This record gives sequence, C-alpha cells and structure tokens, in this order.
Amino acid sequence: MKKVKILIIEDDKSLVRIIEEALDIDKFKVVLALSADEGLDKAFLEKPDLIVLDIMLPGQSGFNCLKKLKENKKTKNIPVIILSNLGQDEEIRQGQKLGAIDYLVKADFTIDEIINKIVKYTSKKK
Amino acid sequence: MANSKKKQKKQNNSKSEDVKSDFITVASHQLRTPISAIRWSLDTLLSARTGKLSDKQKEIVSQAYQNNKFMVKVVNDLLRVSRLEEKGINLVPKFVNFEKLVKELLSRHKYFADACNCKISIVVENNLPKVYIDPLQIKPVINGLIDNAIRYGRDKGTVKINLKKSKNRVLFKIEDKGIGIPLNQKDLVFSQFFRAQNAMKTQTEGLGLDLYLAKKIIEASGGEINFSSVVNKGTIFNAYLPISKNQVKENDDEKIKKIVEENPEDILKKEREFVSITVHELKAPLGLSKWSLEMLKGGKSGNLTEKQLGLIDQVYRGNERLLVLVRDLLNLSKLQEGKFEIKPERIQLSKDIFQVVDGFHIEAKRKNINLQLVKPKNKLPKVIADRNRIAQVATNLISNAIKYTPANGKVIVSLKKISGKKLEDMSDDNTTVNINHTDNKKGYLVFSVKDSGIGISDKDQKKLFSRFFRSEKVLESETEGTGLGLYITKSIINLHKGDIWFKSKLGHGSEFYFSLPIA
Repeated sequence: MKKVKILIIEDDKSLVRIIEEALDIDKFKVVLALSADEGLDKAFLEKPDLIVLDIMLPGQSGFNCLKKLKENKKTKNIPVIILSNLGQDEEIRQGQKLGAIDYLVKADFTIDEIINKIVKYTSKKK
Repeated sequence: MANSKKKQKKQNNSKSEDVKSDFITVASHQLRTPISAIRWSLDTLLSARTGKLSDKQKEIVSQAYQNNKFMVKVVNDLLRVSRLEEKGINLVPKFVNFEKLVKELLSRHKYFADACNCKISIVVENNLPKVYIDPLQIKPVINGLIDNAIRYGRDKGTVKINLKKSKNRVLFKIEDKGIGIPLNQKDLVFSQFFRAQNAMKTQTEGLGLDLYLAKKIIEASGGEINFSSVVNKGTIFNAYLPISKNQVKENDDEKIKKIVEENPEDILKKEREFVSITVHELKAPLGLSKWSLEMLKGGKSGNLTEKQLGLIDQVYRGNERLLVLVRDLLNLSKLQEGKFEIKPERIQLSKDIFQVVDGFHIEAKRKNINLQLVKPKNKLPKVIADRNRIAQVATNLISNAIKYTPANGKVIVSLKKISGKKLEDMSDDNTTVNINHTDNKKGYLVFSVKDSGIGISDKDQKKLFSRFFRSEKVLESETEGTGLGLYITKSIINLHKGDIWFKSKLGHGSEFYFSLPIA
C-alpha cells in the first residue's frame, strides 16, 4: 500500500519528531521543511497528500506560503492544516480565508488530537 | 525596482516579518511555543509510545501535565481578555448545527471528566433549530462552561446538558451537582478577575475570566446568560443563543463591537498589566514542574528508556526557556512601568567584571573557545552603579559572545577609561554607535567584549535592541533566547546614564560595548 505523504512546514525540529513518532510509520511518510521557501519547493516536488503549516517561520510567514500554495495549480488542491501558536481571531480568520481546512493552536491540542486530525483529513480524500 | 526583487527577498530574513504583531501577540506566541513543546512531550510520555511508566512516574508526569494545562489556560485567557478590551468582539455569525458543536466539545473533555470521575449526559430536543452565531467566539464560551461544570462539580458525579428551543432562542443548559456559588458572591460571577484578585489567589485553577468573557460574548452575539446556584447543591447555567439573523443587532455602524473606549496610553498600560499578571501566574506552575522533572531525571522513581529521557529533557529545556522568558517579561514590565529599581553605589567595576569572566571559563573550555581578559595596566577609577545589575549585563553580553562563537574561536573582554570627548567622536563615526551620554567630566569606563563569531547582518543591526528581536542566524543555530535580553540590557545601562553599542560584520564577529560614568 502506498504511504500517505505529509509535508510538515515547521522550524522546530523537535516538534516534528514528536508528530513523526506518533504517526503510524506503516501508513505515513513525513517530509520536513524548515521554512516557507523550502516548504513551497517540497510541496511542488513531493506532491504531499496533506500539508501541516506553521505561521511564524524564518523568512516569509506561513500565511504567505499558504497564499502561494493556493495560487499554484499544482499545489492548490492539497489540503493544508495550520498548526501554529498564533491563534487570535484575526489570524484564524485569515488562515481560513486563505483556504486552510483547519487551524489548530499548538498549545490547545494534544498530540493525539493532532494525529486524529491528520488521519481524518487524509482519509477523506479517498 | 523590479530587478531588485530577488535581492530584497534575500535580505528579508528576519522571522515572518509579514505577520502583523503587537506586544501581546508576540508575548503570547513566545510563551505558547515552549508550553506546547512541553505539552506534546508529556503527551507522548503518557501515551506509553516510548515505553511504560511506573505508577510513580505516571503520577509525576500527570502532575506536570496538569500544570502545563493550567499554563495554557492562563495564556489563552489573558490573550482573549486583552483582545476583547482592546479591539472589542469581532463577530462573523453564520448558521451552525449547535448539537454537533457541543458534542464535539464534549468529546474533548472526556479525559478530564474521566479523571474527575464525572459522568456527562446530554439531552437534545428533536428538530433543534440551527443557531446563528460566530463559532469562533462561541466555542470557547461553551467550552468554558463545560470545563467549569466538571471542575467545580468534582467528585459529585454528574453534569447534565440540555439543548432545547426556548423563548425563540436555543437554550444551552448545563447543570452540575458541585460546590455552588455563595450568595454574597453572586454579583461578582460575571465580573473580571482583577476586581476580585484576592478570590483568584485562593483558587488554584482558573483565573475567573471564563464567565466574564462568556457574558460579554453571548450578549454581543444577541444572546443571554444567567445562572442559579445553591451552595453545596450545584449550579445551573443557562445560555440562550439566537436562531435568526434579525436577533443579532446589525452592527454596521460599529462593525466591531467595542466594549470599552480607551485612549492608546491606557491600552498600553493595560497590555503591560496583562503581561505582568500572566507571567506572575506562570511562576508557580513552572517552579513545580521543574521540581518534579528533576525527580524524574534523577531516576529515583524508576528507570527510563532513552527516548523517554530525551522527551523529559525536552520538557526540561522548555521549562527552562519559560523560566527565562517569565523573568525577562517581568523585568520588561517593570522597566516599562518605571518600577525597575537600581541600587547604585561606588564600585570598583573591574573586580565585578573579572568575577563574571571567571564564571565563564568552564563553559568556554567546554566549547573550546579562547576566553581572554585584558587587564588594565593601572588601577581604574570607581563608577557609580548597581553591582548586581551590571554583573547581569556583563553576563548577558559575554554569554552571547560565547554562544554565537564557533569552536576554536576567541572572546576577549576588556575594560578601559575613555573621556566623554572621545566617546562623542566615536559616536559620529558609525551608525551602530549611538552614544548619548558624554558629558561626565571625569569620563567613562567602557566595557567591551569582542568575539570571532557569526556576526550580525546589516539589516539585523538596526533592530538588535528592539523587543523580541532574534536574528534568523540565531534561530537557525537552535540556541535558546527570548529576544528580550539585549533590550533589557540596554534599558539597564541607560538607567545608569551610560550607553551600549556595538560593531559587527557578518561572518567576522561582533564587539559589544557599554559605558558607565566615573564617580
């Protein structure tokens, strides 16, 4: 069976490691990007099934990244979950407006809840 | 302009500049970052994915987890209140399936309810109409009501929720068999916590902001909230929500409902208050976590696998980072309120500086850095300064120099006497050298620390002393820091009527200086 590919755009590697370990390695493959630029490149090359996107990143922000993902034909249909510690109304609305399917505030979710969301949004597609 | 675009992009290398950020946003993001890292590590430990925990270990980790949840709540609540005070409530209502919304929230409380031995039942009337609300605003309200019912109903078993149509609205009724609300406090239930600060202090959990926010938000949404309560019998909260558009006041003239009109100065003052309350609240749980983690690490409660130790280490580091952040934020708010005290006395500065440098020899050796102290030939005159604060400043600058210098590098600390006139001349030469205090007739002692480290880019140089600044280079190198250190350092030196400045070139190291007037 082909593994589900998750692109995580996040500059904190230790957080990515925690997510990676909690995901079922038989079903998921995690690709990491440490900045929005790297994330855009990898979204294009790797064609992930889901993108998990942070907002506060080195260089341009996750919002900019999301905007560019949605503007590009090749990446616009990939579902994007925002996973950030910015979480005021304005930011959540901006994320939704730009086309994120969900906006999760890191500190408000347990790792299991995040994994459940990832599973939910990747199984929907099939 | 067009062909310089690429170049511009390259230069734009500080962290997510395009995100609008004010002080509260940045402070809460900064606080949440280690908090969420801690949370996820504890999660993973508790899930037993990395190995089983002994009962004792589980107890300690669960305790740390509860602490962590409290910290999340502190930051969230204060963020919400400060937003509401400052910007009002921005409602974007739509028709929402309320049963689904409530049940989704309930599922997230399952763990907490189980832990409290609490059974939750929900009864939903048939054909419940959709509610016309902004889910973004109403969700935390309902969430808070459920949380309270479980929390204060402790050990008394049941929480009943009822959803039905009532008075042309949808009623969310939640009933617990808990401690109840004393008669004499009933008027205070919906008021903001800092009016009843003493009551807050005696409560270990919750800040007493939930109900204040609930009332404001529900009323702004065109709804109503009330309660009835008997001490030791229980409490019922009734929240009525609108089911049609015309129940919500069209707010075209004031699209954003402003609760309090205030001038910018008051808002700034409030911001500071919020931040300082938040960090005060965080101090206690942080101290507790530190303790229990040290117990775990010590291995007295049982052995741990390598992965578990790794996670505990991560929690520990997150905790340390929070401690530093809390300390820095407290200093910052004191500085801004003008309450930051310095206790100046006549001191032989060189003695104190030598002591600070001595303290760094082990760390420098470990990193294989050549740390040198250039001692002055003649005895230097005394300065008037707060010994502890200046030691703090020197520590900060030397620690930065060592942190950002790679192995086999060099860090040189020196102390010199320089006249005001000469400082004035130096100030003219260079843009990063802004020396304002030059009129002390006896001149100044100037401390300097020079490193052969990564250096600071031209762009970063301009923002170095601003709040929360961290250069991308620094972010990449995975070193800890709050981005407040230099800002606070500068403020401390300025309070001494001295200046702080630097010279740096990317890739060629930096040199930091500060001056203090000679006594």
